Amino acid sequence: MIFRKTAVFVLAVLLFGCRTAPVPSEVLEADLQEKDLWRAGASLFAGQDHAAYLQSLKSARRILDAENLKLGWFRDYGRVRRDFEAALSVGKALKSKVRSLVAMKTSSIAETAAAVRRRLRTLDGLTLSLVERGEARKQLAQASILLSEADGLTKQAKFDEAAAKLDSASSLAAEAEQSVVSYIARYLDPAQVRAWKNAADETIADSRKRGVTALIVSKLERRLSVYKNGEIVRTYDVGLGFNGLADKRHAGDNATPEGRYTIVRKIPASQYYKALLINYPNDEDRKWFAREKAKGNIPRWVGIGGDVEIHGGGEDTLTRGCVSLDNDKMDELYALVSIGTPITIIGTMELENYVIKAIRDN
Amino acid sequence: MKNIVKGLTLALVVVFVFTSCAKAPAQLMDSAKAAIQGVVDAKGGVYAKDELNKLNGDLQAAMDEVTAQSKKFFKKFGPAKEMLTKLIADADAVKALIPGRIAEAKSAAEIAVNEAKATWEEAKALLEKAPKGKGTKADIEAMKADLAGLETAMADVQSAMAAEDYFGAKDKAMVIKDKAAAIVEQINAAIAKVKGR
Repeated sequence: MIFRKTAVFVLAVLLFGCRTAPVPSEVLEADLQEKDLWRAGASLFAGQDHAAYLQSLKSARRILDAENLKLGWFRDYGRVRRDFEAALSVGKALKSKVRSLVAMKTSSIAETAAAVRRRLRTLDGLTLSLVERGEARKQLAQASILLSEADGLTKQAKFDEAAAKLDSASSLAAEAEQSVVSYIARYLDPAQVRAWKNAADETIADSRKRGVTALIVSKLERRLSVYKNGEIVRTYDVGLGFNGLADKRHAGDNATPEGRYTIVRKIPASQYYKALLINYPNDEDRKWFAREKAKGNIPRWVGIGGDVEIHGGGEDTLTRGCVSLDNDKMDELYALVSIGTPITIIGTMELENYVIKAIRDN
Repeated sequence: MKNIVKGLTLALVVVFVFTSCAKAPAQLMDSAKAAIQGVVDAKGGVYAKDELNKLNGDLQAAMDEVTAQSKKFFKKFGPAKEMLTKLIADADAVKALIPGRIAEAKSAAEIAVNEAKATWEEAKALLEKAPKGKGTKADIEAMKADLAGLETAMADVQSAMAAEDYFGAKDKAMVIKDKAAAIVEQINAAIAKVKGR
C-alpha cells in the first residue's frame, strides 16, 4: 500500500511538479536590449538614465533568480514578466533618447564640420587664385585630412574625438587664413586701394586728354585693360609671377612692379612669343630702391632687377614678375600698342574686391 | 536538562558554522578585479571593448550577489564564488585574445600606411616628372605645397603607430592615401593639359 502511494506521488511529481513554467521571453529580450544599448553608447550619452535602466534590470534579475531558486511547481513568473516588461520599457525609452541625442550631436558636429569645410574651400580658392603656394596650402592640406578624419569619427559616433579633430582643423584654417591675409594685407587696406584707383584714373584721364592708347594691369583681378581716348576697348586675362601680387622690391623676388611705366621696346620674337618691354625700373623705383638699400632693408649685393615684359606664353602661367597673355591675345595687344604707350600696374581698383569679400564672409 | 543544554550548544555551533564562518570571497573578488585590470592594461578598452564591458557587467553581478548574501543571516557564497571563478577564467581568455587583435590591427594599419606612402611617393615622383614649362607651374607649385602638407600628416601617422594607436593610424593613413590619389589625378590632368597643346 505504502509502495503504491509513493509511486503515485513520484509519478505526480514527475508529471506536474517538475514541469517548470517557462522563463518569460522578456528575459532574453532584455539581455539583447542591454547589449544593444551598450553598443549605442547609452552609458556615454545618457549616463544617469542608463544607470537607472541597469538598476531596474538588476532588480528584475534578482526577482528572476529568487524565482528560479524555488521548486518547479512553486515558481510563478508573473512578477518576473512584469518587472522585465518594465525594464524593457525603460530601455526602449532610453534607446529613443540615445538616438535623439546621437542625432543632435551628429547634426551639431556636422554643422561645425560644414563651417570648417566652407572656410577651407574659400581659402583653397584664395590660395590658388593668389598663387600662394607656401605654408598656407600646406596647412590647408593638413586641415582637410583632419576634416575627413572627423567625418569618419562622427559616423562612428565618436563625437568628442571628432570635435577635437575639427578644433585642430579650424586652428590650422585660422593659421592659413592669417598667412593669406598677411600676404594680401595691402589689398585689404582701403587707403592703398584708393591710391591704386587714383593712379588708374589719372592714366585713363591722360588717355582721354591726349587721345592715346593706355594700358592698365590690375594684378588682383589678373586683368589687362586697353583704353583708347579714355574708353576701355579691350580686356585680357593675364598671368603673373610666383609672387605676382607683391610689389617688386629687387631682382629675383618674382614680384610684379606697381607704378606708372611706358612701353620702351616691342620684341616680335622673344623667348615667350611676342613681348613688350616696360621701363622698369623707372626713376621713382630707383630712388626708392636706393633709399631702402641705404636703410639696410635690401642686402647690398642684390640688384634692382629689370627686363619686365608683357609677353605671350599663356595667361595661366607663372612668370618671374612679367605679365603674360595667351599668344592670340598677345597678337592683338602687340598690334594695339606702340613704343611710348603708358602702362599703369596696380594691385586693384576695386574697394570691394573678391579677396575682401572672401575674407569677410569667412 | 543536561540534554537540553547539549542540544542548544550544538544548535549554536551549527548556526555559527552556517553564518559567521561563511566569509565573503575577498581573495576571489580581488583576483577577479585584478583579472579585469589585466584586460584593461592589455588595451582591452580598445581591442576588446564588448568583452570588457561584459566582464565588467559580470563582475558587478558577482559583487551584487556577494552584497546580497552578506546581508543574509544564512550566508551562501557558493554561487558568487562560482561567478567570480568563471569571471577570472573569462578575463584570462579575453586577455589572451587581445595580442591577436592588436597584431591584426597593426597589420591593417601597416598596409594602410604603406599604401598611403606609395601613393604619396607616386604623386611626388609625378610632380618631379611633370613639365615645368609655362601653363602648369601654378598648379604644380600648389600641389607641391599640398604634398608637403600630406608629408607632415604622414609624420602624425608614424607617431600614432609608435604609440600603438593602430586604428587612429589606419584611419589617418587612409585619408592621406585618398588625398594623395586625388593629387596624382590632378597631376595627370595637368600633364594631359600640356600634352594637349
